[in-house]
Amino acid sequence: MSVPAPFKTLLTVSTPQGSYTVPYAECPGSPEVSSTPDRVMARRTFLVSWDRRWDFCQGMLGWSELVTKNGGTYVARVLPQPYAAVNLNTGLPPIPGVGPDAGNLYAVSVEDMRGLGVPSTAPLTATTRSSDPGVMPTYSYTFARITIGYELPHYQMLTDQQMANPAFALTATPGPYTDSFGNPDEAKLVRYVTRHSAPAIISGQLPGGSVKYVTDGAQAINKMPFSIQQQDIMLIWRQVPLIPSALFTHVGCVNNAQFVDNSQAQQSNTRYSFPPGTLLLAGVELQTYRMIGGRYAHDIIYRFNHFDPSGVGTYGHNYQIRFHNNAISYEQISADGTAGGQALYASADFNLLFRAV
Amino acid sequence: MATDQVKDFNTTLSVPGIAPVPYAEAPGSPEESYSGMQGKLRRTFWVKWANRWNFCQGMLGWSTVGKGANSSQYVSRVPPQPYFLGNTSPATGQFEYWLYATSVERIEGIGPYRYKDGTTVKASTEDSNNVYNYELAKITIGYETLPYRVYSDADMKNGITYAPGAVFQAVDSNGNPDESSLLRYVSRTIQPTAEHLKLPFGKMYYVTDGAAAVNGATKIIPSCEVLFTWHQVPAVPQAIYSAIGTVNLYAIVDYCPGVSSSPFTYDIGTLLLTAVEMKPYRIIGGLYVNDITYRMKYLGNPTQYGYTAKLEGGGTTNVAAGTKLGHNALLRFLNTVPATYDYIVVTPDGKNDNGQYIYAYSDFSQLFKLP
Repeated sequence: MSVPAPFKTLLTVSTPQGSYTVPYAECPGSPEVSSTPDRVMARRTFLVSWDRRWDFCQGMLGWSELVTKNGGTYVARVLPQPYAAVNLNTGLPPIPGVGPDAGNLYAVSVEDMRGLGVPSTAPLTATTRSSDPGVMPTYSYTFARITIGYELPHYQMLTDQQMANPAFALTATPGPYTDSFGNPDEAKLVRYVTRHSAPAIISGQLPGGSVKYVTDGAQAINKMPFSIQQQDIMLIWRQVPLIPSALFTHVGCVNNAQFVDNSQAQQSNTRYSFPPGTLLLAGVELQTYRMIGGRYAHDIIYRFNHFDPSGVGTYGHNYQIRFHNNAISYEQISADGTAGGQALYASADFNLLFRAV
Repeated sequence: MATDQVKDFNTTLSVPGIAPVPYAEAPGSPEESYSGMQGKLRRTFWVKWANRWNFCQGMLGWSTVGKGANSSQYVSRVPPQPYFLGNTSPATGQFEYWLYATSVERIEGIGPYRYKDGTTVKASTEDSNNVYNYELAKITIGYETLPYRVYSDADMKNGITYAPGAVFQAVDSNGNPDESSLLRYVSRTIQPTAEHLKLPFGKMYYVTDGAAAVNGATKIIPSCEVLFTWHQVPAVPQAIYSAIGTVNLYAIVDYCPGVSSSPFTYDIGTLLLTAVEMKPYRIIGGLYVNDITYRMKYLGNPTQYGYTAKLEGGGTTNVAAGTKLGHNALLRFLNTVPATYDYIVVTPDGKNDNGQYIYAYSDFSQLFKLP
């Protein structure tokens, strides 16, 4: 189909396999922007050739796919299209390497898509599976009028190129955010990861004779309650086109090395770092859906319990509170009483939870 | 629309099992959208009034009990109509259906009707149910994405491409479509759970001086519930009633959507069937079907965490690594030097050759087969 005269602009979509373009025109009256205390939204309406409408929508909303490159497989991201309607960085320091677009709205939905012009029922030249009895044809129109909804995502979005750029620095950990193959590494938790945390206390009872009154040194009564601070942390890995094999094998394990969480670095320009043994993977939840275009994706929810009473990683889940020699301390426990003995919780590499393996 | 325009219905819905239905799509159709991680679509058609239910049934599809070789039975599927969007990956040209007809949003009569006045029939085309007889039906069909894969019987026999470059022919020993492959009409939900295990005193020790840990220790045993829902099943598998409270005898290979290149495998004994929920309903056309949800508790095979697999307590035969573990293995502190603990299979007499365990084993593939 030839490009109609009004279509003077091109949507250019970069994909792992190359790039493609779709001519479009924005309708008069577009955009519409609205805001509530906790939400900013925009709506834009476009005209696109009917036969390119889904190419346009897919390019607007983006997608994720597995790509094998340099001998390794990684999660490649085609980002949704941004819309910088509002300067959401006002009052905030600039984000290194991201620039003024950091507060962009991004295309998240195709609110409405319908045909304009005279309908035609010309036969489709569809690529179908051989066993299909035949797909019902549908009308073909001259134009599609498409309404795209934009919102603020709850996670940082970086392109594959930004992830691999050594000069890129989003957090205290400078780029590149790549794995050993040189491919984008989502285990760095700098994109498509949301974190929720809920600090709380766990309650217990003091053993008899463990503490004493200061006035006269007499032993305090038994079964006094006490509380220890801990934290439930939920990391949600978004729009993941696979189920990592570590998903089940790592449940019930603690992190075997420092685990760095950059998922909210955009706000604070800092990162969270969890020393070995302080994170226990307590559960996993999957939410499966289909991205626009039909590919399957999962939002994978990892539920961790963070236990670090020292605050600096001296202790973790394999330590227990002890009242001993007129002092309170946390001490490592094992099955045979040696440092190398069998621990309460085995250790595992938590980076594998966020990689395509 | 005038009656003579019916003859202009130049397209036909052809579905095995029902007579072909000529139809025309209404101008302005379709309307498409994608929001909240859910694709949606609405199309409007005209068909002859008398053909309306045939048309709707052909659009939404159905499931029946199929008969195969050696008196075998299987679930035969006439899938809902897919919506063709063109090549859905503009970069790679990869093609896959992802929107299916799931609802009849509205059927509306158009044109002159006939009616019955007392005992007098006022028109020769009167409906036998005393329903107004219109000329045409204007039918609005809703399309949605589904939480499970949709394949025809022929697809299952020809081979399913469940991941790029990976094809699986899902047929049983009689050559029938085999839904125990979990490749079609099966959705799954995974929910985390955890239990707190109070360890006995004197089994864990402080590293600093070797003293026994006060109050032992509490170990969190994480696990998860795996819910498999088998959709639109026209009969209830008999295995449901015998498999409750048992664990899987064989590894379960789940070709679930979104795996990379390898299907996910649940090892032997790691899934305990704790409950079954059946939701009966009638699909369009009146056929009875069920959505059957199998609620299973998953307990990871301890060998995954580096523990050994063996039998202890008077037994003489060690259990082969990777077998008979999961729910039938209990945590035990061993009198080894140095002291360790392990997951050990338990039986009534400490041997593994009498076939008795805490949980019996059963073939879970029968949960997805008929009868």
